[in-house]
Amino acid sequence: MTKSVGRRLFLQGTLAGSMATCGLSASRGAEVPASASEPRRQVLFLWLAGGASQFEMWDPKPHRPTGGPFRSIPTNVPGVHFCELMPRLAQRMHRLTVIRSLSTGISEHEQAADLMSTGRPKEPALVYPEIGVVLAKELATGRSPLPDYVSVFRTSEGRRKAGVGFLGAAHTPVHLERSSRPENIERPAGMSEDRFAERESLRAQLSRGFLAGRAGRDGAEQYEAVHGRVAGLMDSAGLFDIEHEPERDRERYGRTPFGRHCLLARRLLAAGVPVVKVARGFWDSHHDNFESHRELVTDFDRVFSVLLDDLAERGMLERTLVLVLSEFGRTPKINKDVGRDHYAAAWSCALAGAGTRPGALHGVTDANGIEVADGKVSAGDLTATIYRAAGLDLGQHYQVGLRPVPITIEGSKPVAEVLT
Amino acid sequence: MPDKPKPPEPVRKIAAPEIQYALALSRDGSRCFLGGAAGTVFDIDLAGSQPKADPRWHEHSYVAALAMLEGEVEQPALVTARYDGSIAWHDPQDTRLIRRIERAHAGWIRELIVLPGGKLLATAGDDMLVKIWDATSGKSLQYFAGHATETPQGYVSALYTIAATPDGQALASADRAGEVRLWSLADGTESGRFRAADFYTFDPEKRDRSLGGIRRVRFSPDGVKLAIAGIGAVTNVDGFVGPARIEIWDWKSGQRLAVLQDNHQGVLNDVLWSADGSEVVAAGGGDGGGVILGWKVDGKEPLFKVKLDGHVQRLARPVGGQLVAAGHGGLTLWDPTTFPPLKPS
Repeated sequence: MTKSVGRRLFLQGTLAGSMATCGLSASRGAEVPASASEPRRQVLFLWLAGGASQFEMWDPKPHRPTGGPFRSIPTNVPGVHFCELMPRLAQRMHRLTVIRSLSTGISEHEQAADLMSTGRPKEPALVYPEIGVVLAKELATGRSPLPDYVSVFRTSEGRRKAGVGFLGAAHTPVHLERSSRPENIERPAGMSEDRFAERESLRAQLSRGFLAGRAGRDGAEQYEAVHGRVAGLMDSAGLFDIEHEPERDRERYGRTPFGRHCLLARRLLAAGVPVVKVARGFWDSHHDNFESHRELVTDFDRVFSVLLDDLAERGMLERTLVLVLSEFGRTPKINKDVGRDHYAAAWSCALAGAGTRPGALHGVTDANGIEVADGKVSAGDLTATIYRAAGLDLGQHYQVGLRPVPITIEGSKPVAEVLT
Repeated sequence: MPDKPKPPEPVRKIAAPEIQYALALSRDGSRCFLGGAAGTVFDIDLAGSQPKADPRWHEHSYVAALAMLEGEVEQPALVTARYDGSIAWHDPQDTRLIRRIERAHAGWIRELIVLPGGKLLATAGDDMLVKIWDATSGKSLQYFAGHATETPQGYVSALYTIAATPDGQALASADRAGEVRLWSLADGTESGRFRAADFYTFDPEKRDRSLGGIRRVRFSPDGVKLAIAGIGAVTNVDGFVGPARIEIWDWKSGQRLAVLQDNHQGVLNDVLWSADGSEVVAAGGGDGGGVILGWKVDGKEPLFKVKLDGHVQRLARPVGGQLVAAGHGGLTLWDPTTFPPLKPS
């Protein structure tokens, strides 16, 4: 029965992951080190899959051979200009933090996405968890019936499931790919609520009996915890339905998929989901780059501006770290197909909210945007910046078997200028 | 089935830097102006023995379209339309700026044409307006509004192209969502509309973007038919993967008369009719590289296909002269007699 496959697979995968994780001692520094008076931080990733152009967004080079047709416009932070495709965000630079000096080296989609998602190059001996998975593990309370991490990736291009790596499948996010609500979270057709409760009661009783008095029961306990999560997910089905949002908010976010997904993200964050990722594909503009970015950035500018305002109005922005990131940027050279190709030597990202310094700009590229002229930031540095902004202790590590694995790659440093 | 002719070679290549989006010919076809991504307007003496692109002046924006005013106006001028929304009149001899209108459109200007009779100009811009201008004074005379600013899925649209009937009585304009609107110049009203839906691709999962659009419309010499150029169903967003496509419409009745599609993967940016209206030649580029294609209007298979290195943005054919294609890296000139089905004018 396909009806139950999704839930069963989720449980099977989680159990396998739990077992696989048994070698992980979870030796770590602490719970989130934010002070007790501060609300627990949350993180929202806006992932622009395929590689958004820094020239048409955060680092315009008008009137340069590499600049393309768009003008730059001043933001509300003196001296900082954006591409003219972002007039709304230009008026919200006071809420943003921009890094213009990412230099990450890898310009092939999969490898670059791995790098930017984990903050490290791949290693044959150890599979690292993605940043969002680490954050979800560290920021989750462990008591919530909600998922720790929801990833919305509805478009097929660049779609990837968040890698849990050595943290194990217990930390697998809820991936929303075919629908904006999890699949198969309804009770099986024909099963009454009472019947379902009876079955769950029996399962729980058997599980408790199995666990009683057994040593080395981490995996089984995780299995039990995941059952609780699934039950929570089933009870939270309405959370994934943005039709519950007031019409005003639905109109505000607009009718494009990115707008609807960002509204869903805000809804999930407001309900307490620690980490949410919204991916928007089709930025890989080898042809017709300017038409592509005219369409994509215009939508991004409108939706992200609404999202920032909404988070701020609800008092959520100060506890929510928002990241806008791709796997790489795009080439300064405009190719013969009026496109820009992959480029990782000098590109940009943006942050907002918790732990970041509003209005800050870090890094400088040269006049044509070919090289970083000052303030180079690696993937590891950005990861450290993200973790610090989210309130994690950069000194902590995971004990994987006999190997202590620091949460950031050795030698990486957070970008102090963009952090509070 | 007749043998396909051997692919022709260009008569001449004239280099100009970057991408040339705009092309204007003098009425006698001896002189050509180019403009594009570099913002430089180039002057080419096509009648010379060794024509080359001479930079004449620099516009501080992409040049999207050029139009020559001569004959019917006292002051000959080359009019430039830019992505920054401005239009400007320059003296083509001494390059003197005659007039500039800074905010002709609130958005990129995509097209600029001289209307039949030579005394009026028409422009189309991404404010989704068609505007009519006095060619001599630059006075704004009339505008036509109606194209939606957003595609049906809520993304920003674009108004790529306009064309005028040979009698100058009607205009056609077309947008990114595949909508064609028809305007009556005499009474300033919309006279009709239809949707050429196959020029627009949207798929919420595999291609969550509003793709394609009608890139050029051109009326037939008798004014009865409208050729529409663009790309068919897009199957890969990154590289303009979709069939090069032309449709021929009876614009008054809103009936599609013919579909001329090739398996060359790319968008057709421009289309020209033969003088007798029996054939069209179109050009563009995409995943399959640059291309020039020709069809009999009542045919199915292309009569010829010439592959090029980069995209072609504009085509022109001076009376009795060569076919002129502007795009990546400059201009190529073609001898139409090497395109057997394409009859010289």
